[in-house]
Amino acid sequence: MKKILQSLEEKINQIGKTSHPDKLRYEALEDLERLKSEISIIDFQVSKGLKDKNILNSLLAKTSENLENALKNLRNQKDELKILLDTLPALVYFKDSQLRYHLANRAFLDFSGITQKELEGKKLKEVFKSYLPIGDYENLEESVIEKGKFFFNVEEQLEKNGNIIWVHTNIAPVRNHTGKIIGLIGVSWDITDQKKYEDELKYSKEIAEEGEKIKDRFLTNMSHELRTPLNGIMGMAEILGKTNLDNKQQEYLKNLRNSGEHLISIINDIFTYSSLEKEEVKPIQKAFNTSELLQNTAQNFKEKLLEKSLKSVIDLDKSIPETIKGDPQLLGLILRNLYSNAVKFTETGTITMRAVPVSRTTENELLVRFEVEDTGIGIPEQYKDILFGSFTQLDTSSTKTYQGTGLGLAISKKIVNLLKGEIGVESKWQNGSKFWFTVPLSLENLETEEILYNKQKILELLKEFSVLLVEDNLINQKITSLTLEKEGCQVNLANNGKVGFEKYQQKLYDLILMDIQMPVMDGLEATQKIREFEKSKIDRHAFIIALSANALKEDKEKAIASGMDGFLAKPFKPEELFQLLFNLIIKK
Amino acid sequence: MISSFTFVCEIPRDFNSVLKSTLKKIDFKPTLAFCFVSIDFPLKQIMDSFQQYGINLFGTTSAGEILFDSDGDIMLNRGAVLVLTDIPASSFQLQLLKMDNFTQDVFGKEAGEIIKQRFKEPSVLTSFSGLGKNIQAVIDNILIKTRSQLKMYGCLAGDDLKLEKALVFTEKEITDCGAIFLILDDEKIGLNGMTTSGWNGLGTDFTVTHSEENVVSEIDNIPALDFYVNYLNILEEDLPMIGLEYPLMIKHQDGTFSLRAINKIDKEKRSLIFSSSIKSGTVFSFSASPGFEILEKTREKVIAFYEKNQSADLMFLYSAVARQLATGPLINTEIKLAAIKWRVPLVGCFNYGEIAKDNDQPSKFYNQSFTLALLTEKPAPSL
Repeated sequence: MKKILQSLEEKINQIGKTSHPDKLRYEALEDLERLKSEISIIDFQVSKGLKDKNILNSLLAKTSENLENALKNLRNQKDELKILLDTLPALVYFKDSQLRYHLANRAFLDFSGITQKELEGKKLKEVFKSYLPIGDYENLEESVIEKGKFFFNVEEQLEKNGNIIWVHTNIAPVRNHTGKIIGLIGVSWDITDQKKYEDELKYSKEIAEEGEKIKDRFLTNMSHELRTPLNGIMGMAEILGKTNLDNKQQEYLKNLRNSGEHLISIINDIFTYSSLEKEEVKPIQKAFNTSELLQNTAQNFKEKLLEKSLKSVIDLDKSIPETIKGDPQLLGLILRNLYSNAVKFTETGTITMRAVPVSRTTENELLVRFEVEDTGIGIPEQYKDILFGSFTQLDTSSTKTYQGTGLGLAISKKIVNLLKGEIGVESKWQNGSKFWFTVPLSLENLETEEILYNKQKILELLKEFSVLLVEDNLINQKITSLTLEKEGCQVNLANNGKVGFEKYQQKLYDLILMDIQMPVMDGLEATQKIREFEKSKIDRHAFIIALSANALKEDKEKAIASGMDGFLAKPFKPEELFQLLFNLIIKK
Repeated sequence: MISSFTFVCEIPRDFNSVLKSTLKKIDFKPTLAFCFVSIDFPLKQIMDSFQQYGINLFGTTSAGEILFDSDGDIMLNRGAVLVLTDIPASSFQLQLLKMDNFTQDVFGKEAGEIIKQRFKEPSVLTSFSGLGKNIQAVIDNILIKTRSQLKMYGCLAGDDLKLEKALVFTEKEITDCGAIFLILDDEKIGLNGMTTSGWNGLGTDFTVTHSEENVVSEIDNIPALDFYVNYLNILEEDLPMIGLEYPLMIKHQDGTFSLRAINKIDKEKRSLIFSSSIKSGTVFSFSASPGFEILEKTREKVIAFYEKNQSADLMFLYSAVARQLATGPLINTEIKLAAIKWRVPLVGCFNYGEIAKDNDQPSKFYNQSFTLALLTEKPAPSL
């Protein structure tokens, strides 16, 4: 504007001195227009400024009031934070980006024995002169500063008054308002007691694990010690039954068999329960015939039903497909347990086994309810709640009428849970019981190529087989060989694994029945040697089946790992051996 | 190339004769006219004239009219500013929609459906009336129906700062609560644009503690109207006018911000009404124009935009009325910054809100902005 005014002044001065004033007059008028425009802008700025002044002043005043309040709040928060930090038992400290202490709470200062003023600017080892580094704590701090990482539960050792103090520390970066890392915050807490407890806990765990091993060993040994003589008793009873006996002798033999079978079922229950407890039982999905499952279950109790003149009814709802998918072995086990109880506690009347559909849980899944209903003594109301517990027997008198381990229902409940179902009972004292359970069964891919068991076929094959029985126990030798010979097999004997291996080298047997626990060389080693021999010298594979009194899952796993093809727990019924051989030889 | 002819009419009673003489003067047959006009003009007369000549009319009342003619002169606030064009009728569809009792969602979706159906690749010039309506919600719903990258440019019509009732109209229909859409065939008529603001945040942050859609009823737990009046130390009567100059600067979590100017108040409910949703929990500060500095920002943005978009047959300028209030006589300089670059006819208006698609952002509603839209006829594809 100053320039325009100067130019205008010059032009006005020259107008009187020039002979052509019109041009200058026109230029002066232009300057005046420009001046007018500049003045209008200034005028606008002034009036706008005045208008804005009130608003901007108000904004400024309010903002400064807000800032003052914010500052006051900040100071209050700072005081509160300090009180909070000072009341914490944990050691809290702030370090700058050079990892020098900047601020710490009371617990930290008390622990380190220095004042806040003395602490400021010092590094870790200047504060804790006897710092005992574990791992790379200082490197961790550097990576907090450089990379903004967080670390949790970093273990450290500090020394105080000659005692080792264990601490856990969390470290986190501290950033300014632009996000730049300006230091770190550390929080440490004493875990010395925790460490002590951990050591104690570790020791207790080792003891517990050792205890578990001892328990397993005890079960293995008990299994072996009980099953071996039982095998003898049952085998001999089987052979005795084939001889000429008078009625009284047959009655005694029957009692002997019953007691033996009862003892076997007790041992089996204990092992099944132990396997379920250890979660070793894994359900499988296999197509099976529902009707056959129910028929076979009832068939197992044919003699007992006859004995008590009990009627057996099977009621299978027609809407349940004939073939369905689930775990037939586990389902059979539950049904046998329930049926066994029904037979046990019913003196007259009927035992009904029922299967009815409940609902379609998904497109390919059917919830089926199985029931075993009897007309027996029933269950008093007060016992229903404890019925499915372990080792529960309602008759606890010393003169027990009904025998059992009290594990049957507990086992059934565990299996039903495993199969994702429910189990329960409806009963009235003196008025019968109805035990039921539901399980989801699959309707998917039901095509089954199941080859049905054919005993005749396997017996025909066995007649052509050369069989070696490797067994140290004379009674068992006798029982097993007699059983097989009765079916037309040629059985040779070996007293231990070493002899068994030597005999196999001399004659290539088709089937070897191998005991596990034997003197000189056990069955596992003998099997390994046979397999090595087969692999290196001959291209052949003999069927080796373990016959063991050790019935735990790990025993079976060990046998299979050594190279055996199958496993039978002693005492076994001839039928079980034939079925296993059928599965091994014909099915495969 | 689109042929166009711009003219102004300052005296309402002269409108018919001005239009008649203009039509005689031009050497092309106009198909479509754009009119930015003061609310005090007899709009019925304008509409009837165009209907009589069979020319489609895209009309918007304004808070000031803008014209940069072929002689390089800028004319502001002259009553009515018009441009006649020969955009082929097959390349556009003009549609006026009334909001009536529809919600913004339904209205937006209906508009979106119409836009989508007309051309394979549509773009839109639009003007909204309906002060206090949630324009952003309408745009969002249009984009739901069409495509997220639909190009939309336009404004929220003005009423010479009375802030009572704005109008949009065609040669046949008019509404104070609705919108007109000029749907263009983007394969034949190119539409491109930019937007810039320049407002600065002031003071500390506050939080909207209660709101419903575009109506803010509480700020920091204080009735919003009381809060605004008290904080700026103004009288209630100064609103909503002063709200145009001191908008809220909404701070988004990703660090970006948007400006939201008050365009209505509800004295009974002590609430402030905007043209876009402001959710409860929104953090904002007040904002103000830094004065002439905004011109520098406009200059930078225009130059950058020009580098990439040098071709234009006709330009539209939608300038927030607050920019005129903030810069006074220097508003001419800002308009010239844009107009002089392309040296093609420019028409437009001062208004209460702008609609633009800026860079890769979807089309949005803006306040306090300087928004340009360029129209270009695309060459026919060679065989």
